[in-house]
Order: sequence, then C-alpha cells, then structure tokens
Amino acid sequence: MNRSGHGRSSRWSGAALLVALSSLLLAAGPGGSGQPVQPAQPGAAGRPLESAPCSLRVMVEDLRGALADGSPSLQRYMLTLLKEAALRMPVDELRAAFAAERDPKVLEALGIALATRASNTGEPAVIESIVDRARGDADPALRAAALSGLRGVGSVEMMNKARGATYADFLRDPAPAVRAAAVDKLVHEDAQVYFGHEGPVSDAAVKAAAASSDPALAARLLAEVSMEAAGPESVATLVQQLGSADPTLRAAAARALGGVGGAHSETARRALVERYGADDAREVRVAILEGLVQLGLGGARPVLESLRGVDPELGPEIDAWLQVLAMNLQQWSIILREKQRLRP
Amino acid sequence: MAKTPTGVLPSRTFAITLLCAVAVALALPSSSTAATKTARGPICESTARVGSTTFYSCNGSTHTALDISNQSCSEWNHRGMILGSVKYNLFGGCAANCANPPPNPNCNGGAGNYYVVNGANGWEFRQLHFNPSVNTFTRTCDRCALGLVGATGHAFGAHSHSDNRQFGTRKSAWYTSVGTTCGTSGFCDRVVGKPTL
Repeated sequence: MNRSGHGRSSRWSGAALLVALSSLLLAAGPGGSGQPVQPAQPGAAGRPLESAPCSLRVMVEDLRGALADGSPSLQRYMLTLLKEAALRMPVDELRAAFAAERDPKVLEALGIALATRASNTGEPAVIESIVDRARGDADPALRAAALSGLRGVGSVEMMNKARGATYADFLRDPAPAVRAAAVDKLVHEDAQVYFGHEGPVSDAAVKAAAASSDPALAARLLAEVSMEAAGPESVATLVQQLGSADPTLRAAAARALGGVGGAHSETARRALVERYGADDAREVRVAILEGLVQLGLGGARPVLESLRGVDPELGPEIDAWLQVLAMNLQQWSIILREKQRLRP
Repeated sequence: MAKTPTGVLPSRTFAITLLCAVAVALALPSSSTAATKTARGPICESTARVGSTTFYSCNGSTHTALDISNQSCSEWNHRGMILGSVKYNLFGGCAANCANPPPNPNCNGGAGNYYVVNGANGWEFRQLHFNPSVNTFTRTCDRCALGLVGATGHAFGAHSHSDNRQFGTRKSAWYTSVGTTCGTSGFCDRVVGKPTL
C-alpha cells in the first residue's frame, strides 16, 4: 500500500491526513500553531495511523475520491474539511489549485473554499479568480461550477468591491447551466446570508431578471428573492415587467411588487390595480391579488372589494383573501398558508 | 469491521468515525423561513470560557445570553460567531474601555458597541460590548474579526455577550440545546450554540 501517495488508492494516507487536519482544526490558535499529531489510534484494519503531509494536493485528491464514490456523510465532511483548512492555507496555493482544476464538482468545492477564505479575511479580491473562471472558461460546466463556488458568501457585495462583474452578466451567458447557477446563487444568498434584508441583492436580482432572455429564470428570481429592501430603480423595473409578454413573468413581477418596502408601496399598489384591469391572464390576476394583500394586509380590504367587478370568476379568490384577513394573522407566511388552505 | 449503512469503503468508514474528534460544525440547512445556524466561540484563545448563561455566573439574576471571556481586554479579536457568511450590522460610537466599573455604562443603552445579524421573522443574533478596532464596520463575513474583546456599555469586566432574540425577547434554547454552560470553552473552533435566524 502506498502510504505517501496522493491518488485515490491511497486510502491510509487520506485517513492519516484527516487525523492531522483534525488536530490542526482543533488546536490552531491565532498564531496558527497546532498540537502535535497523535498517530496512536488504530485504523480500519487495526494498523496504527501514521501522520501524512498536510498538503492541499492530498486533500483535493481525497475529496475527488469522496465525491466519486464516497458516502454522503464523507462527501460533506471532506467538503467542510477543505473549506475550514483553506482558512489557514496559502491563498496562492488555493488559487493555483482552483485554476488547474477540471472536474466541476472539485472546482466548485475549491471555489467555496476560496470564497470562504475571502469572507473570513475580508479580502474580496480573492474571489476575482472565481469570477474570471465563471465568465471566461470555455467549458460551460466549469463556468457554472465556478459560479456555484460563490455559494454561501456575500458575493454581490464582493463582486462590487472586487471587479464589477454582475449577475446580469451571468444571466446573459449562452449556456443554460451558467444562467441557472447564477439564479441558484442569488436565491441562496438572499435567503441564507441576508435573510431577505439586503437591498443590493434584491437590486441585483431585478437587474439580472431584466437581462435574462429566459422568462422562467427571470420569474424565479423575482418570485424567490425578497424585495423588502429593493431600491426605486428596481421597483420601476418590476412595474415595467408587469407588462411583459410572458404571463409567468408578469405574475412573478406582481408578487415581487407585493413584497416591496413601505416607501414604494403606493407606487406598487397603483401599478397592480392598473394591471389587474388590463391583464386577461387568470394567473396574473391571482398573483396581483396576492401582491395587493401583502402590500396592504388588513388595509387591502377596500381595494379587493373594488376589484370584484373586473373579473367575476375571481370572486371566490377575493372572498378567500377577505376571509383570511378577518383572522387578523400577524405573519405573512401564516397568512399565505391559511389562504392556500382555503383556496389552493 | 462493521460497515456503515451506506456501505462505504473500510478506510472511509473509519474516516467518518474521526468526525467525533473534529471540531468541524456543519450548518444545518433549512427549508423554512427561519433557519438554524451554528455559533462558535468569539475568541481564538484556548482559555476563553463561558462565564454566564441563563443566569449571571449561572446562579445570579436573569441573563439569558452567553458571556464569554478570556480575562483579557483590548488584546484579542472579538470574532463573528456565526458559521458561514452573514451580515453583521454595526451599532458603534462607544469609546474603548477596559475599566471596571465602566465609565460610560449607558452607551447604546448599555449594549456598548455591538453587532446585530438580522434573521427572518424577527429573529436576530447580537454580539455586545466590544472595543473598536480597524475591523469595526458593518460587513458581511464568515467568522471575521469584528473588534476587540472589551467592556463598552454595561460591562463589568471585558467579555463578549451574545444573545439570540425574536422580536426583542431573548431565548435560551440556542445554547442549552448544545449543552453550553458556565465553564464551557468559548474558543473559536468550539460550537457554543445553534441560534435561529
């Protein structure tokens, strides 16, 4: 058995490396000093583990093997191990590994490690190599994987500081996989990094949606990214998209307008009411009613009543909303749930 | 050697068992609006310890938060505790302090210099009392240095106060659920809680 090798066949080396890195993660302080490796525990076949060099190359090869045929737990562990170890590795070594990688899954993992490093140390320039790869690689799968490497960090802020590439650029990519990765990334960042409160992320999503030639992707961005802190330009763009040719996109814009902040609520309400009379697509009108309720909550009753005569077929929909509003519920997610219970 | 239910190779099976010895905490993904995050200690020094939890010094009046100290002041970084990138919103303006009692205990209502991470549905995570440094500004980051362990506001002795609140009410389950109590390590590689955000 090759104990010092770096390939996938080097199972023992990988296990020993885990011990070394575990000690590193447990003990490293501000100066980076760690406890000595304790190779006393027996391995899978009763042999004592031996310490192995803590090199990025070995770790990447072990990760590659885990991603190829390891259990989900091992994959998750190896991904986390790389991400944590990257906080203390030479950044140039990480960049070089990222630049040389050709396997999409490993590339994404290395991107996540680099981006986490950038987030931890406050060096947005570190993500330039990720953005460059996501824009410039000839292989669409690698461009998408590089972009997915930004998952979990404040990439909109970092990209603004680092270079100026935007998500609108990625939504113009010719490859569907890259465009889908950009949408996934923005939705994740909005929900998991900012919990829906970050205006620049909302604005980036609206701009990206406007730049997209794929109405389904644009609709997903508008439907899933919070507009709570969207700026006036974004609100104006959403109003424009109420007139889009695609009904799914119009419906998403209507729901997005329902989520804008108080400063823009009157603009949004007027646009929604106007569109309700002009639009003949049922799904758009249903979305407009939802948007109006979210904007006004209990105060939306008069406007709902005023729209009854526009489309008698939607009378039961308006009745359902009025019934839910009469419950005086305090949270939008619960209001939505009750509405769906009454009238899915 | 028994195989795991997933049937992984023996060496990998063993590798998984090493998880027990590794302080790598995994953030739990959540499909709900509010999510559970992982919080680690705010001080990267092994002597950092929890001094107060639900009650001051664990037997005093109500506190419902974690106080963590390494008995130093304006020396060690006060780091963001949430594992993963989140936005730390700064509420600053208090002069650095290491004196006990503090000369300006009412600064920012007693919180001193502090950061707030705003979550969903009224949830928030706060870190209080730090002294300012070059790293003190509103930022989105993953366990970055936010300031120095200090004693601004109503702080008798330099420490990091952290709490998890919903609509202003402090909760305790985020740290009791992982067994954090007085004397628990507050080192930056140790999980001290699972706050909701």
